Amino acid sequence: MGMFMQALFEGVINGSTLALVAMGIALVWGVMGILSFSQGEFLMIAMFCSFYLNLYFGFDPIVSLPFCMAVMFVIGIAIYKLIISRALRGPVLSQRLITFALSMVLINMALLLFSGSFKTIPKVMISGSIDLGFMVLSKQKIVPFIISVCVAGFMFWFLNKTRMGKAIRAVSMNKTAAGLVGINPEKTYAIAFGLSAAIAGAAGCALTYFYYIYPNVGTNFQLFGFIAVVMGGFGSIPGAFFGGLIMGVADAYTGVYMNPAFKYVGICVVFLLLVQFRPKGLFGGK
Amino acid sequence: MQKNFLKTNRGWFLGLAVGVAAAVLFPQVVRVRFVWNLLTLILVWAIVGMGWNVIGGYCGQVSNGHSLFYGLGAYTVGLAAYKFKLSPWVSIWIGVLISMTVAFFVGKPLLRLKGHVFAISTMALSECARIIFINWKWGGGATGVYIFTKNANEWAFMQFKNPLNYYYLFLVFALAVLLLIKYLDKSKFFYYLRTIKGNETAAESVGIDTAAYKLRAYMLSAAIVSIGGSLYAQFILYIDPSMLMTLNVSMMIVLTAVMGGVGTVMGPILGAIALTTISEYTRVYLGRFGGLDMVLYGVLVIIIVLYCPGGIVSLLGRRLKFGARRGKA
Amino acid sequence: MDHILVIEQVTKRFGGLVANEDISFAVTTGEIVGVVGPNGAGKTTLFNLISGEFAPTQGTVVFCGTDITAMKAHVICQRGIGRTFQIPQSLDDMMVYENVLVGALCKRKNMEEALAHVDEVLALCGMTELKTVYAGKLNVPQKKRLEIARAMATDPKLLLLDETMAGLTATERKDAVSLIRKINATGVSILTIEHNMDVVMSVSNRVVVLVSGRVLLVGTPEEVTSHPDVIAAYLGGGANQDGQ
Repeated sequence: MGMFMQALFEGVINGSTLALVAMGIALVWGVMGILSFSQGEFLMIAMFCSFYLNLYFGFDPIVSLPFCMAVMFVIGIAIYKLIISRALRGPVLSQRLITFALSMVLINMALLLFSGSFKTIPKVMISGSIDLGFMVLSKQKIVPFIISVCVAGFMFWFLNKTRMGKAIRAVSMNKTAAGLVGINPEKTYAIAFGLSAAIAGAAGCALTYFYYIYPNVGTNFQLFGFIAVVMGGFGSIPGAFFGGLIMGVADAYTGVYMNPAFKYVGICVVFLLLVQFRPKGLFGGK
Repeated sequence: MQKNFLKTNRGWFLGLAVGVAAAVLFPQVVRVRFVWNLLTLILVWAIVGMGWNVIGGYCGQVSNGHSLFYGLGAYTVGLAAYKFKLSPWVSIWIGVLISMTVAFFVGKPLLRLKGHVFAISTMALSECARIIFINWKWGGGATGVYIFTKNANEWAFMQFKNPLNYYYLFLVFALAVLLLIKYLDKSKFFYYLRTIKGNETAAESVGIDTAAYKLRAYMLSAAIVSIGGSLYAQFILYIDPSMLMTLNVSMMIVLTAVMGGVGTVMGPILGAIALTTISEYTRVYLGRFGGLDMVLYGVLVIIIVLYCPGGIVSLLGRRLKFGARRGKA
Repeated sequence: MDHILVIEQVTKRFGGLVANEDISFAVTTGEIVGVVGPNGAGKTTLFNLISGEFAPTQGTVVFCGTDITAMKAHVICQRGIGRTFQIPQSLDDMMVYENVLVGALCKRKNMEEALAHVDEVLALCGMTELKTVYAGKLNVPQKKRLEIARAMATDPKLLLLDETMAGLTATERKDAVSLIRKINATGVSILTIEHNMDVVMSVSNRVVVLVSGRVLLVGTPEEVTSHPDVIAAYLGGGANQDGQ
């Protein structure tokens, strides 16, 4: 029981990060149809951002959060304007390769600037743990979870209630029709891409609360993020969020109850079976 | 048929003869070991790129997990030599058979998927394979295996002291694959693959069994990539999963074909020349500034893919048949 | 009489929606049969059932004496039913002759034979000058013609034409009608969906009228045009002369 609950807790914590990465991927997929390989690297950049804000100014990651998100939003828009907007004119395959090359550039740029060593934030504001008797909850891990839920909540509010958010959803449903009713696709795409980077940024910043910071950290989340998006029904943002949570939990359980080395295999096999029987994902209807 | 194949492509064969002559003479003129290695690697990537092109380029089913077959080819020759003292001349073909068998069984369910979902599934599959190989003690696990066979005959075991021998041998393999692809380029098989890429509904309506043809293309593709993997293992005489079966390798395979020209005969070869040259030179000159080589490499890739979506083939201004315009992924 | 196609009590439901209900009629060898009916009457669904795009919920489709009801689309094509699509499904990255070639390869292994057949079909369809144009560069009437050419290249015994006239000008329609007659003269039976009543009546031997997924009437053009139910249901109900 204790082990079961502990694994659930760890799974939900990791899943919440994955959920945010997956939401970013789903947003870019849904709006511009690109399978973005650079989402994990946005998370990585935000982690370094949070680390250096802590190192030089003593900011706690909670304090850095809005700043990291803003920085990532701007970086996202810049990357959109510089690269993605041009790539969108080319074939789908080129778009995918460009985001992959971009992730390569970002990882190695981080390696060049910050070196490959593992970093952690030495002291955070909220620490310690809650002992429930049968399991131990680390407060340090609860913080990122709460942040993830808040950011996800903010995203749902933004997409459903604001003008821009509605425009983004409209474009992801039908590009031509959205254009006909006067939505500027270029601007919508740019904002959507910036947002996807900002969400990954929030995830990264929150993750620095307990996780190592190193240039390759993002790649761990990339494939699982993709899988989460497909599970949630591609392009569906709430689906991606829950897909991410499920992936996190599945990951934790396979890690506990199977040979940890094979947990990826377990997940991938489950995924491959899933797409066979529900090609539109768990929440994607029939 | 064979006669016609030669006759109708006279110009192409003339160009090929010049190209082969240049490829044979070049390393004799430029006697630099680095260049020899580079040329050999180009041939490996050209073979692999041509292999991927069959399913990804001609048939439009963009696999992002072809490192699986690359790894299978490499592991088969590696383990065959290391465990059973079996000559690669035999084990290459065993590798081809294994790859085709795997492709047959995974291809059936995978090829029903489309677009990004197909890509992600192939990625997941090769990721599974990598982890299985990492944990496979008998097969060398994460540390890999050196496959040098002591006191073996150079030619019988395909391990040469003179690096040029590798180059010339691989040139023969690459040429054979190229001729096969050129021959198939105007065949019923490849026309059917293009039709499937263009429009599956239309393909069904003219009597094409799309599932069967996709599977055949996937198997042929796996076979060729497997040969490339086998040759690569033979060249560096070492195998390990983190070198052979990563997402990076899968993406490089795709990149080779895309950079040269998706769904064209010469594309993967041109792509291999460009990509391998860039990667080897940046590695040698900038590799010591941790990461700078890869940054430059990535930037160059972005620029080339961005400004030349049809691949290098389209730059050469050749009559671009079935070019990469609107490549459907 | 010799029936090339017999449709018996075919029903197709999509969830709760009944697209075709209890449809029965037959096409005699060598005949041109028109299928008419208002939008949403289930004409294209019927074509998709015959060509194997999906299987009917109930009923059977018999072609040349064989039950083809559960067969897949590519098998049905190999057996001799060619079809065109309402929205042309041309292969835009290929040239016109290559579009036709993939059809010709259906019954031919040898490339030279297939290419020779392509030339014949292109000549028949009057597309010889467009041979080396990329299909993506064609205009809509040309694309519709290409659809017919590609289907014809598979040597069908029965050709299903889905609104080949929609969106065509009067002259283009005339050309299309003469093409259909020419194809029919080579011995191919034709089942054609058409919105334009004049065209259907002039070209068809018999007409099937579909309304809300059911067969209202099967008869000669004269019988159909004079039938009060047809006038009420189709012509009367805001006659849509040019399709969408």
